[in-house]
Amino acid sequence: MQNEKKEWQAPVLEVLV
Amino acid sequence: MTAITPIDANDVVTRKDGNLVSDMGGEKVMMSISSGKYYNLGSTGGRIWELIAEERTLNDLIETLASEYDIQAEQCREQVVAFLEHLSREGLIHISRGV
Repeated sequence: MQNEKKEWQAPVLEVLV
Repeated sequence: MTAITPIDANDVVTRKDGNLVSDMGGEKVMMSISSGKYYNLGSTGGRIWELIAEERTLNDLIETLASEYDIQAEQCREQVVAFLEHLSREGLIHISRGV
């Protein structure tokens, strides 16, 4: 059985203080 | 500003030490000890950060992500390269040129 793949979200580096 | 050479398929990527990382609601938040800057890597970015704890080629990274996530490899590569280039500009990763 194939594992369910996770939903992809484009990786973004957010610079935060 | 330092120019970033585009990352190639066989280039080896690994994260640098010197960052405090915390999981917050499924996203990874990080502080660079040297610069004092805070970053939010998000959920996918957090997974990439985990994967580059050890040296990996870009190809290997893309293959792993494409097997875990619902994404085509080429689209994944485009987005991951942009993300890695941003990490590199911030001085958070090492990129060794592949052969």
